[in-house]
Amino acid sequence: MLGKILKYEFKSMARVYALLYAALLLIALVNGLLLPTDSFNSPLGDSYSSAVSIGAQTFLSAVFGATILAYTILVVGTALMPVVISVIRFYKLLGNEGYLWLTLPVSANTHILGKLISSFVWFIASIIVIVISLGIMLIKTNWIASIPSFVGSVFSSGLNMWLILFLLCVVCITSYLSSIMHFFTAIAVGPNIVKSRLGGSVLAYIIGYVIVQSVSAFAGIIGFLLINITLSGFDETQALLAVQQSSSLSALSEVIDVSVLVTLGGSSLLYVVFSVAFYFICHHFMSKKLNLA
Amino acid sequence: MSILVQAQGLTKRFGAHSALEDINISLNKGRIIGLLGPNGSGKTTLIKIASGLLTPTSGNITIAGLNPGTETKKLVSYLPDKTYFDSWMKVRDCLALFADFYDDFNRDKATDMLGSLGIDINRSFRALSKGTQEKVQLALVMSRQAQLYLLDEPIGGVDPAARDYILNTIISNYNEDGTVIISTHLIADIERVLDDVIILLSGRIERVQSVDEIRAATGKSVDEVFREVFRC
Repeated sequence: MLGKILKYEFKSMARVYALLYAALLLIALVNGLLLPTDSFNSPLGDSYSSAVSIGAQTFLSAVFGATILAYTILVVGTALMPVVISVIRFYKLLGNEGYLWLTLPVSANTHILGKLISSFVWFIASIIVIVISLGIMLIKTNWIASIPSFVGSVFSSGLNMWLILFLLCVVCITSYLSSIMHFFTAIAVGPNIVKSRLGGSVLAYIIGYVIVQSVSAFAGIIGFLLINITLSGFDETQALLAVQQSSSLSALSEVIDVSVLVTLGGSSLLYVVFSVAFYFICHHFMSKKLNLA
Repeated sequence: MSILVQAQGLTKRFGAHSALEDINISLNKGRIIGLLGPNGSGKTTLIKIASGLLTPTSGNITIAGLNPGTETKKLVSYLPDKTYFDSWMKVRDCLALFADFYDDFNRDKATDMLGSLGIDINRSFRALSKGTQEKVQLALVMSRQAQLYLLDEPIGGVDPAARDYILNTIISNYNEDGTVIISTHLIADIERVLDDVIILLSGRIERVQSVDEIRAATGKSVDEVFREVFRC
C-alpha cells in the first residue's frame, strides 16, 4: 500500500514542482547569460562598456538586478517548498481530503510514511535542482575547472573531511525529518487540545518546540562536558604553535574530530530521537484519537 | 440473520455537547436502512464513527465483529456528504484510485454507470458541477461489492429528477449480502427503498423499526410519522 500512496503523493505534486524547477532553471540560465565574467557592474562585460551608452548599461544592470532578485526568490521558494507543501498536505489529510484518504484500507503508519517519504524526496530533489541552477548561473565563470583544486585544498587541510561531510549530511537529513514530523505531530494532536483545529495545531507545535529546545539545551551541556573531558589532556598552546609553523591543521585534528563527532553526531542522534518520538505520538493520535472535522 | 453492525453504549461528545449518547443497536446483513433524524441529531457522527473517521468518547461499534480500522475499511463503502477528490484529478483518475485501493471495486461497472449518467471520464473532477461530482462519487461507492454501504445524504445535493436515478442506482447495485445505511432527512424520497429505519433525536435513538411495522402499527408512512415526531 505504501507504493500506491506514494504514487498518488508524487502524482499530485509533480506538476507544481516541475513548474517551480523549470522556472528556477530558466531564470538561472538567463542570469548565466547576463552574468559578467569579470565585473558585476557591467552585465555585458568591460569589452562592451565602451560600445553601449550609459543608459543602456543602466537598463541592463536593472534587468540583471531583477533577474538576480527573481532567482533569489525562487531559490528560497524551492528550498522552503517541500516543508510548506508537506505541512499543507498533511493538514488537508486530516481535513476534507481525509474523507477520501482516511477511509481507504490503509494504515496510519502508511499515511505518515507516505507523506514523510514524499516530502524528503522533494527536499532532496529541490537541493539538487538548486545546485544545478547555481552551476548553470555560473557557467561563464568556468567554476567546474576550479573544483579539483578546491576539493584538493579542502582535503589536504589535515582534517578528517570525510567524517565532517558525512556527519553534515546526516545532520541535514535527520533535522529535516525531525522538523517535518514535528509539524505532522502538531497537526495530528492539535484538534485534541482546543476546538479550533488550526489554533490547536499551532499550540501543539509551540509546546513541541519548547520541549525540543529544552532537551537540546540539556544535551548541549552534556556534549560540552563530554568534549572537555575527552580533551582534558590536550595541549592547546603547542597545537596552535604547530599549526602556525606548518600550513596544515593536522595538529588540531584531534580537537576538531572530537568536537565534530560530539556536536554533529550528537545532534543527529538527538534528531533521530525527536523524529521517532514525534512519529509515535503522531501515529497514536491518528489511529486512536482521530476526530476528522 | 447474522449481525453486521453492533454498537454498545456508543457515546460521542464534542466538549460539553453530546453528539451521540448511549447508542445500542444491532443491524443485520442484507437490509437497506434509513438513518433518519433532524439536522444535528447525530446521523453524520454515527456514520463517521463507523467509517473510522471519529473516535468514540466511550462505548464501541463493530463491523463484522471488528472495531473500525484498516480491516473494516475493506468492508465499508462510504459516501460522505462532501466532495473529496484532489483538484488535479480527472474522473478517470478517480476510477484508477478506487481500482488501486479496493479489491472489491468493479471498474467496468463504474465506467458503465458514469456513461449512463452522461459523465465524461476525461473531464476534470473539479470542473464538474457539485451535483455531478456527487453522482461520480456515488457511482464509485456503489461499484464496490462491500459488506456495508454508508451513504451520508446521497440525494441531498441533487435535483429531484436525479434522485430517482440515484435511488435506483443504489438498490440495483449494492451487494445483496451487504447492508446499506442511508442517512437523510428527505424521507419521502427514499421511503420506498427502505427495509428498516433508525430515528435519531438529539443523539439518542428514538426508534429502530422496520418500515412494515411502522406502517402496520400507525397506518401512516414513515415520512408522516417522522413529521409528527419532529413537529416544531
